[in-house]
Amino acid sequence: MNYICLSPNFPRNYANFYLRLKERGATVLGIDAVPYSDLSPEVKEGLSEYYRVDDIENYDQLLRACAYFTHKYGKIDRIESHSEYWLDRDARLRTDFNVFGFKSDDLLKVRHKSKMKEVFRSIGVPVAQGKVVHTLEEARGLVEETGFPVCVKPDCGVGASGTYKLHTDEELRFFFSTKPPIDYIMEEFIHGAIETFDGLVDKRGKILLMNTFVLEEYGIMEMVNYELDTLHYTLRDIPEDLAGYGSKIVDGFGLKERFFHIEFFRTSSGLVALEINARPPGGWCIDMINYANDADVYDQYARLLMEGRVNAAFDRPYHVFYIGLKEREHILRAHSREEIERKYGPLIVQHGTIDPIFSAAMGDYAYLLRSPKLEPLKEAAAYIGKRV
Amino acid sequence: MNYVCISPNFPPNYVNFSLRLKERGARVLGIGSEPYDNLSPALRGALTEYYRVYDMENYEGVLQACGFFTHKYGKIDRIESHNEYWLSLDARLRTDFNVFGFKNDDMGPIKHKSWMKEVFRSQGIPVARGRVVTSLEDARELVEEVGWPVCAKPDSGVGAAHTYKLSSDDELQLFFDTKPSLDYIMEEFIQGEIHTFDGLADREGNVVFKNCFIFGKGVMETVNDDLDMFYYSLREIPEDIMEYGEKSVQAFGLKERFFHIEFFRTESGLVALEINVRPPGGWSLDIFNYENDADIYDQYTRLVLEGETDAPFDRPYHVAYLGLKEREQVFRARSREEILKIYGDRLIQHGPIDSIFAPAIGDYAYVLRSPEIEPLKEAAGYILERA
Repeated sequence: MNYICLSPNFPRNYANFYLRLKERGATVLGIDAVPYSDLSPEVKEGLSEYYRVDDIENYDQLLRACAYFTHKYGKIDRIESHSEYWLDRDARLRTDFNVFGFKSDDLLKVRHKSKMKEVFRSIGVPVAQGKVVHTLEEARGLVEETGFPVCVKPDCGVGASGTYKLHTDEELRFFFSTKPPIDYIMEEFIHGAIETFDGLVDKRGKILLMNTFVLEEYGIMEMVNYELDTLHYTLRDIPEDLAGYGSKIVDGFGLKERFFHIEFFRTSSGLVALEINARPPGGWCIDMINYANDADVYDQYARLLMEGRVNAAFDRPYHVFYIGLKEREHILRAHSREEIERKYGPLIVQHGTIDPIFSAAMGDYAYLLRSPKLEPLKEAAAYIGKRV
Repeated sequence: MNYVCISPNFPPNYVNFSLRLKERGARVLGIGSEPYDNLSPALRGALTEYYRVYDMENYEGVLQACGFFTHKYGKIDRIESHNEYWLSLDARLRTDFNVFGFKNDDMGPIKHKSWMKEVFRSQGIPVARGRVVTSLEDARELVEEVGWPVCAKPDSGVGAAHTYKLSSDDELQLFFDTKPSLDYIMEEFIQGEIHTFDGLADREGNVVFKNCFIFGKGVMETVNDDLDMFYYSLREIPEDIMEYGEKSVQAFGLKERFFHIEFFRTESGLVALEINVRPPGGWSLDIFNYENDADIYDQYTRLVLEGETDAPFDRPYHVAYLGLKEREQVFRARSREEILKIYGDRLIQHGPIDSIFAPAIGDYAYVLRSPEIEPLKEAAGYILERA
């Protein structure tokens, strides 16, 4: 098994994929522009060879790097970086080297929110009303149907960057006079908690692992734009409607041997699908799934690749709670780290600083708590997150 | 343009492709098992690099060779052998390096005669009645429909190898007792001259060059009965050949490719025999050149590099090919000296044939050309005469 990944150093926890793959006998080959000496010891350990390119954004260099590996090790079996940012490059390289997995043509429907919406609709999954709007007039036409507020996002974009909630016609005009020259999709604003359906499918599209995160009260957009703390937690029982729509979506998008992360709103009238990501949820989410199941998802993924199956139970004996605190000068905390550890140490399974690149969405310093019951976790989170 | 030539030294006249490609600015990269030192100086001059593999039949090695070229020179633009034997290899490499041209998935109708027959039928082009037969009983049922004799060929096979004409039930039984464990297609035996539609399609599938050969005998009889090979080109391509030929080029999705389509000319019209997605073999490319006073190797190169050809291809000449069997049991009425003395005026090329091709196209060949067909037929009668 010749496995190629782009940017193996990033995010840090992905080193676990490469270590586990190597342990199970794969040849893991990395490509990036950073000097070899800057790779973490874990990544160095996991990789059989590292090809340094001068410019990771220069596709020809990536192509030649993969060709070098083909020359040296034979047919490439997988090209997978598990990252939204490399989704296009992974797919293009897979196309150019005829490697299993999503090819360039398959990507359109998971990269464009408008195409995604069409697929959701075609399989009977409810979505927010909306479409790509090119002009102020077109946007006003949509608002007449949906009313204010509306939500605008880049049709092809990652995470919540460049995403806004617009409440008035002035805001709408301001948005159009300042928006970057890319396609934007505009949607009715949906109220409700976010519930996710995450997991891993095998080579035939069968779901092997499922998980649900709940983000109460506010979504990532609000967290990024208003410097709120980040809270989300896993469920032990996945709601039936969520599993039902989630499975349909995995099928409808033709996911094979991939992680996925699907977001829904839980509204008063039921679920509304927000988006699908054909990669694992970011940040510490994989570790949360590990804690929720006492499992090693990195190793289970490696087993899936090498042996075609997993062997963990994934029966979710725990809830896991994430609380990511914004640490800014103007935010004053009621409780110190020492106090938090003293009071809730037994519940804390992991804590530490977040990479600055993620901190807008994930907070600057995060705690992971776990317990078979949800209430103690909510209580601890309230204590940890309290501001003066 | 990174152009990878598979087995660039074979057949010898294909070296011209590499030469012309290089002249027009392509980077020509060769992969073959022949040691570099054995390549002709001209070919060595045309190749920017040659990657020698130890065994062309070992796919992994050829893949790694293409990996090497991609690493060193960037994206490969073409992978081409123009050779029936490497068609599948070309397609597999194109698939694995995402290169323009026929990919694995496109090869089904090309490689399987039964599938090919379906495509001809779907275009309303008549074909010989027949199908893949799986047992003696199945074959007898087919014979009841079509009568004796029948023709049996490997469903997926190259040229006329392992192809038989069966004239009785005894022969049919013998065939089933001894046939290799391959799918065989069995067809009614069609009587008639073979007329071809050959040419070159551009990137959009338009036929930019065309030719028609008339064969006296089929390749099968030539190989099996040690016959001489005689064929000649027409200056006017019959309308029905043109119609069925162009339909076939469309239906099989040929793009920027040579093709060679064979028909039987029967009393009731044309019957399609097969399509080959490569140039006709032997000296045919040179015959195209003599027929048109053109350089087809260069015209192909222009097509690849610039998207168009610029020769008129208006066939001012008929060209005839005579491939003579020179075997101990074959007695010739004329010596080479006599032939050269009498027909030197219309003889444009002659010489020995590579032994690998000799069973089909003869041991020693003469190519004649003339604006009229009669002088060629007359010369052919003289040259082919056996004692």
